[in-house]
Amino acid sequence: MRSAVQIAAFFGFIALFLNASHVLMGLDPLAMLANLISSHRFEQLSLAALILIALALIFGRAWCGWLCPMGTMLEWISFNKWRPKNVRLPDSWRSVKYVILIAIIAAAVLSNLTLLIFDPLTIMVRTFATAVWPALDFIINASESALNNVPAFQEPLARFDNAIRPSLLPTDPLYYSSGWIFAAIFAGILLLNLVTERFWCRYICPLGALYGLAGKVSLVRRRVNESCIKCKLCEDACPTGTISRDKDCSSDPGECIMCLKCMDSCPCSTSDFGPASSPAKFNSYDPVRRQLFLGLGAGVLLAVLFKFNPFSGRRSPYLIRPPGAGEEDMTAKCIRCGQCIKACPTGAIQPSQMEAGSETLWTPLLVMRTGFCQYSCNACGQTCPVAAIPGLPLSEKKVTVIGRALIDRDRCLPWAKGTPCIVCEEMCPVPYKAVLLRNAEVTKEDGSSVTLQRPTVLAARCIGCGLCEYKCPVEGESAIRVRALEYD
Amino acid sequence: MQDFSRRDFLRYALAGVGALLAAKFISACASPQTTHVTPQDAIPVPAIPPVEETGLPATKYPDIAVVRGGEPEALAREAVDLLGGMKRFVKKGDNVIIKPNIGPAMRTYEYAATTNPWLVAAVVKMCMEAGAGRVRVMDKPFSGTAESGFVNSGIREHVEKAGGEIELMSRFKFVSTDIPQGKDIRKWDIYEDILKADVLINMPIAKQHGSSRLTLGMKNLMGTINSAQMFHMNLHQRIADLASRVKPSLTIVDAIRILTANGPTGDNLRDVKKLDTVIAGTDIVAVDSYATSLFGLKPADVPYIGIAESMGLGTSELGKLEIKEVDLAG
Repeated sequence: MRSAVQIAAFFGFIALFLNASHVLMGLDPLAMLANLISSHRFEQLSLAALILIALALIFGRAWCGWLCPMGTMLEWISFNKWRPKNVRLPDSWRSVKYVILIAIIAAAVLSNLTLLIFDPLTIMVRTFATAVWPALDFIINASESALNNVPAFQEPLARFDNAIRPSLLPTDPLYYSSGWIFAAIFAGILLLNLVTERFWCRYICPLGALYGLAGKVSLVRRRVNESCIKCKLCEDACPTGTISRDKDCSSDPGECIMCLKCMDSCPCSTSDFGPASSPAKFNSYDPVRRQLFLGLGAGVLLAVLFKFNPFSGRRSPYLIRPPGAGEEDMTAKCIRCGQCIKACPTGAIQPSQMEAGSETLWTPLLVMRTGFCQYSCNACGQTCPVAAIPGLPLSEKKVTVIGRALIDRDRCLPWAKGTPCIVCEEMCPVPYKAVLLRNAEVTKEDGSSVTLQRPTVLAARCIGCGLCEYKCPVEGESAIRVRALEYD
Repeated sequence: MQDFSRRDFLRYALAGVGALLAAKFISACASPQTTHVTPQDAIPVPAIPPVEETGLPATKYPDIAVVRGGEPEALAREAVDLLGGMKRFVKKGDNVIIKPNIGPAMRTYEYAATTNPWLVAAVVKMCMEAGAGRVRVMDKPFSGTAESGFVNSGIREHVEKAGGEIELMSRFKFVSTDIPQGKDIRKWDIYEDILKADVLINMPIAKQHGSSRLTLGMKNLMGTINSAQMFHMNLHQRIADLASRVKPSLTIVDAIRILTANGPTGDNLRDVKKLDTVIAGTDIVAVDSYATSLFGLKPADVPYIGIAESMGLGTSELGKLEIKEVDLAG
């Protein structure tokens, strides 16, 4: 029963992810709450998060055990067999997730959302968008190419390919230069399962911590009655290790993920789930005083530290944000969910690294050599759940300037080599082309002379979409590059 | 998951390796993908049956048919009829591919950046009527996805209504292909289905392109290859080289609306001129040559036409061609 719900929820996640649906992050109360505090703006989408909070007030951390795609993956790839037996980690480690949660909220008060990179849903989307899906695409395309050598397979293969692209996989390959980082982080989270089951959920997950706080006062909780014989079977079965025979086989509702495994394992049916009236017992790792101050301190300190940016005042000239998005939106509104990365059909949106300092780590950055901002596309703004990228109507997006192209005349073929080329002018999608071609008589290096057309950018018409940069046939760095507006 | 033993793992791994080896073996047995053709070898020329085989009256057909003044379907039917009817090109059960221009993949047909959807649908219908086994419409746009291009241009809707299929070109079907007659490029990734089709019908829209050139029949063939932007290193020669390898049986130029400036993308109705004209012919060079006149140009103004002629791909001297012009409006 629970497995079925988990599978359904996981496919639900994949479906929302594939459609780059903005609803997905509405299911994340932590991200929506942090965004609300930081941006002082209530998104209607947060109503969905309220439903989940209400659910948590009834069923505690049931999200973690039943719905969370990260939790489901941690269960599917649990390394149960390889894990050393009888490792008991100190319970005090459980504080860490509360500290992270409080730090996220504290930093959000200071309008900083960088720490949302710890949110499990953002981790899932980021990893799937930049690593898992491109890898899947690569594998499937390679298999298709191999099988296509067999004549009998060609027809079904063509139908298969037309069925899966572009709805499930991209028509042209997408590249994410930082994909390996996210793959490594995700692999690390999975490998922590080797230390103990659901290490992430027990000790790190800030969303789990938020639900855990709700779990403390939740309506339905695990109960153990007096006839328990302390056989410790439930202790072994519990994936979060919250059942301890030292405490009469009781558990902490802030840690319990309602997986019901204890109930199934109990030989004398003493363990069940039912209504509870009083708040749960206090544990040493629960967030009061020490953890609270630690979290507040860490949040404030990090929010300040993130502001410290050796490049401030000399921002990267290639810091191009999605249409309509400003730098403040990236710090104070962007919840780092990575949905725009998935939504961008050309793969132009990449997670930023340190281009604008650590404060905007993994926010959307347009890299025109890997993709371009398609003229009649406003998918990123439509998918953004928190309006960090404004949801511009197409007509408005088409005239939104995100940067301006500049030609490097030392590299441009007609300017530098005397080779005819007009690709940038040809590609320019605006109604009045922003690239002007001028006829010129050019003397080449070998002394011969040739008449050709040389491109010049008309800055007033250029919207910085980067199609010219993407298509420029010059090897390596493009001879026409879109630069951030501040550098005009 | 619990009882997945080491033995199971080895078993599955072995089966997987076995399957891979089997696939390799089968593919090795299958015919090789790229045939290395030396320039001396014959190039497959699309089979246009001699007049007597078609069962149509044995008359000589004009080189170019130009039809003006009518609805897209009427224009297409009249133009093809002047050339001997679709049965001259399409035989029963033929695998037909139509290559329109969905160009920037973001405009509706009014902007004249993409081939007229009713015109494409009319040609699909004619192919079906001639007994084609399968009619596919495909193009690789230069920006955006083919999916959005077919939807925005209206081509998907009308082609599917007419009984044709839209194929979104698959990455793995662009195969490295020799271009034996090529002067500059001798090898390029070309879509294999286009090379294998029984009949390829080229349906460009006449557009201004850059400040001195036009997108016509031969330029339209750039939608059948990969890395098209790399063509621009030596564009005109390379277009002609490609035309020596990808040979449509029939080229139908859509000049119902033409784009006269800011092409090939165009986002401005001010630049669109409505001509209600269709130009068709089997000689791609001749058709392109005639189409230059729509823009008040001469064949010599478009370099790839001259280059293609010098390579023996067709003739650009309009004086030497039989041109049949019909005005449906009277």
